[in-house]
Amino acid sequence: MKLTLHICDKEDKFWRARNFLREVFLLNDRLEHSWHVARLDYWRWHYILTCNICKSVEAGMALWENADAKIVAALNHLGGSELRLHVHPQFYSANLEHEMLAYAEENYFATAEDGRRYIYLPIFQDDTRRQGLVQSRGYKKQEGWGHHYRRDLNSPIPDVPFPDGYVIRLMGGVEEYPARSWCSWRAFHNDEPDSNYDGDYAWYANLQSAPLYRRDLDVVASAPDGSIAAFCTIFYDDYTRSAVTVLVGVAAEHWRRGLGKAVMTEGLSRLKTLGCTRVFSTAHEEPADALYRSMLKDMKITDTWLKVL
Amino acid sequence: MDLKEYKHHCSLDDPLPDVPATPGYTIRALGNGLELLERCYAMGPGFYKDDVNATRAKRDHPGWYRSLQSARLYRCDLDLIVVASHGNIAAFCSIWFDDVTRTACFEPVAIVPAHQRRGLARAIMIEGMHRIKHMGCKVVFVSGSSAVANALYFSVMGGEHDIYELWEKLLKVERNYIR
Repeated sequence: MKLTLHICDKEDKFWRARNFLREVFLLNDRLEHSWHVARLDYWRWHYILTCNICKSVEAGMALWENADAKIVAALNHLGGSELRLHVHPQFYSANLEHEMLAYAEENYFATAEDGRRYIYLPIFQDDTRRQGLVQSRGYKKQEGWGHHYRRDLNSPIPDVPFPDGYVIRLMGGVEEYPARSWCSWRAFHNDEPDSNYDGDYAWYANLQSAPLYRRDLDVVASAPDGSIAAFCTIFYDDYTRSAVTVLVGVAAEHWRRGLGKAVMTEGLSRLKTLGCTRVFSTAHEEPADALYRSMLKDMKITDTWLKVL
Repeated sequence: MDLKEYKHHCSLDDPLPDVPATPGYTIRALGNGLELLERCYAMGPGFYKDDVNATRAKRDHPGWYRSLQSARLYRCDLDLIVVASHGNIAAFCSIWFDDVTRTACFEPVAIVPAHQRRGLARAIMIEGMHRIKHMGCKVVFVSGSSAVANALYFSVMGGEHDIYELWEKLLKVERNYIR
């Protein structure tokens, strides 16, 4: 089968790739053997637009098409030197994945301080096929894990205790960008001096311009003083009836009060009302891991596989 | 029958006009709480004009709006209102965007009678078109049955349209089936 490599350099290609991910996700029984379309949106509208860890869609996404111009595989450069492979299960071949990895090793590598080039990707612990394939190319398993939680929303979502004085509600308008941005800082950079905070909250408008963003799934907990204490932003794809929690955090001064659980519970309830039947959250560090473990039922583990080029 | 429905459609590939200025009014997404009640109330004068009872019912029983908000394609950031300086809702439109087909539909669009002829409908629709274009929408649709609505939609969306005509069939009723 003759496949053609295309850089994702046109808007139309990007949108075709979004629907390709949906198709593959459904064919894979809605398990994350490929990206959920929410992750592609988050990559473009947050990682690229705000974090700049990848220069552009064009610089970070390649597509393989068959003779009928159907996308059969996609490759994403998440940023740094981290990869994601998305392969249509009916078009899978070892040759195709070798070709994708060869392209990535040529174009998506990063360079360490000692000048060595390297590249890496997460692989599920039970995906022995891909593990064998990358091992044959010289990849080695490294420290670093990802816990990929999911929960089917086919049973009632239990209420959780909620501290007095806090209010769960939706994110407000533009006027709340500064408060929301500050809460993110206190949630994710609480070990840094506040003087490092640049005060730039334009990133929130970037996030809100993602096609899957909806303010009615952007849940916050406001503290008695009116400040935002916690947040849970969810991207829901009604086509696959599934969702991803893209941002969940609690400002450090409000930790250990059950706010993380509270905003997630509200988000899950809202998802269920909208018709969502499965939700995903991924953790790479302990606080998030504990929260998702308590809220979501099933989990798959990825290991990190790295190749020094 | 004589009733015709115009199905207007507009490609968003070309640059859109700027949102016209609406002095004394603000265009933004619908909020919650009392504003939701105000939006329910505005539905009355927006569509039922002189029917006070219908207007009051829309406000007193806002469950209908909660139902609408639970629809899969509902997004409150595309549920737009024009707010007058005294806080009343002067106009509203909801847009339903489908990111799979990259198309969207205006439904409904209305102006409260006291605020008509100030360009608010045109302004809120163009604001909406900017928002959905920013989200990746390629084509937007709206349907109009009245001359006033169609004049607005032609002016905002251009001339592309289809016409739906109603076809009627009178069914024979078998006597044996009547109980």
